[in-house]
Amino acid sequence: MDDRLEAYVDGELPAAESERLEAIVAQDAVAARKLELARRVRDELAAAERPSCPPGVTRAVLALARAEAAGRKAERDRAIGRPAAMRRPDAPAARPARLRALWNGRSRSAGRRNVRTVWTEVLRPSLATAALVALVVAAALIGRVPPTPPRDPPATAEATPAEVRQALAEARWALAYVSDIGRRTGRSIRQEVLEERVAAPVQRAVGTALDAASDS
Amino acid sequence: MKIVKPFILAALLSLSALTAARPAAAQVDDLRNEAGYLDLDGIAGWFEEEPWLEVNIRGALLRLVTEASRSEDPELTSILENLKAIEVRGYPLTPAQFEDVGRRTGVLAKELEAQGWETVVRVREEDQRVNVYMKVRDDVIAGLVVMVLEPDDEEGAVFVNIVGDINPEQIGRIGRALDIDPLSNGF
Repeated sequence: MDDRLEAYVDGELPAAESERLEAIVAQDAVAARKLELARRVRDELAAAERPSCPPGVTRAVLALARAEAAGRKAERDRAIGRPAAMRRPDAPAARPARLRALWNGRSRSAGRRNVRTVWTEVLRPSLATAALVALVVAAALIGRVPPTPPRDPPATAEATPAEVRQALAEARWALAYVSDIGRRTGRSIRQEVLEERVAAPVQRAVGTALDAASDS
Repeated sequence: MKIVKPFILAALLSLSALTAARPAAAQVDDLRNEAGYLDLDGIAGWFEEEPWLEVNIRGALLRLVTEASRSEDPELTSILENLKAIEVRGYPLTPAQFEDVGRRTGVLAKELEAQGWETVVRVREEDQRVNVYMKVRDDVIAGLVVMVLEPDDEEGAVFVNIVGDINPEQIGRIGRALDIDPLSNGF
């Protein structure tokens, strides 16, 4: 009911619902008092002075974040071909460069030779056996055989110093943005808290007392 | 001995494979178990355009960021040390989209309330909607969700989810450091 009253005084309630609410208010003294209170709150909020952030501060922060994000995107485009800042949270992370060199199509023939070289010259038979057993054990533990090489390396393997710096700027911006929203809405918070926790309970109490008096 | 050695290596490799590697998907799964986490991916369906701002700082990246901040901003470090994730989505918002997105935001707000999130701020103006919710667990703020709709404004629609132990006063000080006033009344 309170939400609908609020929407009604804001002119946001659909016409049919507004008519129903007006009919209720016409017959219900408590609802009428609530409507009057909602109107007063709206008027006071509209008349209240709203302190604002110093001109340009928010836009300057946003512009800085965007500029840094653009720089980071270009850097990532060059490095891994896809910016992490625009990557979906569940999207596979980029492969480390040394793995891309082996896995991508460009180095298919060279990669095959590289793999064979690594296999015969670097890996010793005991290590190869160990790796095979490790895969079997790991597969048994997680219930399935891994079909392909791992696509999601740890994040530490892909984060460059530039990316960390960019993430730091983004973290700072996000926290500052939250702080700014808190300040900008501070007055409204106080108004709403007063309305919900002081004015409305008093209004209900008075309404109940009046109803009780009229019943008796 | 020749037989045992490969198995020792195998055990080590298995353990490292299972414990050290934390894929992005696993990190998201971890976050889903956090009381203060809100999956912002569902919001993408509300908009036709790609987000102009998408921030996902969590897991190993968050730890790296925390360490990177240590030398230059100890205050920020002390905040980040207690966080699990910082997620942001920013979308362009036209006046034509305002009502629809505002309605969807209202539905999401009710879902949050049903899940035990507390309303901190709710501003409904002709050209602006602001909703701030917090999740309290064991008398500690475990998560914060900020939803701001300002059509035709530079920000447009911005959604923020901060997961972890949050100290509002510290966040206010970070804002002050960037010439943005702090949270005067705290969350």
